[in-house]
Amino acid sequence: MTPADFTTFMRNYQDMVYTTAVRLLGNEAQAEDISQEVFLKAYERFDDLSTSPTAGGWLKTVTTNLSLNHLQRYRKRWRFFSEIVHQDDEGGEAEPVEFAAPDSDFLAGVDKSERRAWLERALENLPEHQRVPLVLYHFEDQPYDEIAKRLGVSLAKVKTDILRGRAALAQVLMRSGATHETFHP
Amino acid sequence: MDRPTPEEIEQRLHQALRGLPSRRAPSSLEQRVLAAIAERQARPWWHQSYAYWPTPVRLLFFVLSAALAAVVVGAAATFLPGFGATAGQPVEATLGWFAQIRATGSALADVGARLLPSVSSTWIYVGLAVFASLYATLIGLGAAAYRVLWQNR
Repeated sequence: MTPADFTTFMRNYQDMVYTTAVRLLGNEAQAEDISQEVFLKAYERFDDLSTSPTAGGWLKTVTTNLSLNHLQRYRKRWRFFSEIVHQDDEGGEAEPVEFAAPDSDFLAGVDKSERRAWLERALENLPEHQRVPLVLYHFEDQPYDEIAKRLGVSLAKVKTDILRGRAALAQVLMRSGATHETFHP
Repeated sequence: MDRPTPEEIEQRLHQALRGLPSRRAPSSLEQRVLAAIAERQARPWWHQSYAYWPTPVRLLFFVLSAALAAVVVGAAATFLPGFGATAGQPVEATLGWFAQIRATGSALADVGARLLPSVSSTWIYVGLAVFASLYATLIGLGAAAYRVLWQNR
């Protein structure tokens, strides 16, 4: 193994690793920290990974696990010091969701690249309890029950949070399409 | 205007989200990783975990640990009364590691069985309390030393 080999390996995967982390964490600085940790772990096993066809999957799994661990650790620490627990985050049975459904053309009327930028920003600005399950569901293809198990919350809460997250994203996109107002994160 | 159903929203959002391009990793990431690797490699081996020690050192450590264990068991066999059939014999003359370990275990159990009835429960509680406080002190000192000497480096 040479440093050049590892640099090439890192260049091939760094965007994927960073993207996975930043979408879960919603924070660019933390995502960079997690990405660094992932590549340091990859370096320890580089002899195996360099020739493995599943290196991308391994990196993605490690990134997801480290990001979720980071979020859980941060949440626990915050609760320990603040002693404030939001009922909404506790995994109790969630009440039915009622929200104004967006118009059917909520994804129309916006330039494609502009829409992508809006969507990325809107995703980043979702509250953590909506963003994380939504990202796991839509980007990592994890089923609801696995997400609930991984996050330690009830199945009903996962479904409700994802539903609310989708509604929030759709509303943001609809607003952006209707008015082209400047998006302030 | 028609309102989409939650299923339609899910389907269309799924397509939109999956169509998002990857975010570009910051240019500083590569430098940070390479610097961290270089820093790790520059660390002396005794600052790294056992898995990263040089093979001869790991071998030597294993041999020394085994020798230390043999000395302890041998000393116990020599100086502890009632150590079993092997008491007083040199370690090399015993029937092997298994017999040594078994003899040590039974000797300790024997000593415990003789001592325990003669010790009052108060002394047992005091002993447990001292052990617990020593354990807590050790953990506390370890945590303080880690924070002061290592974490802020």
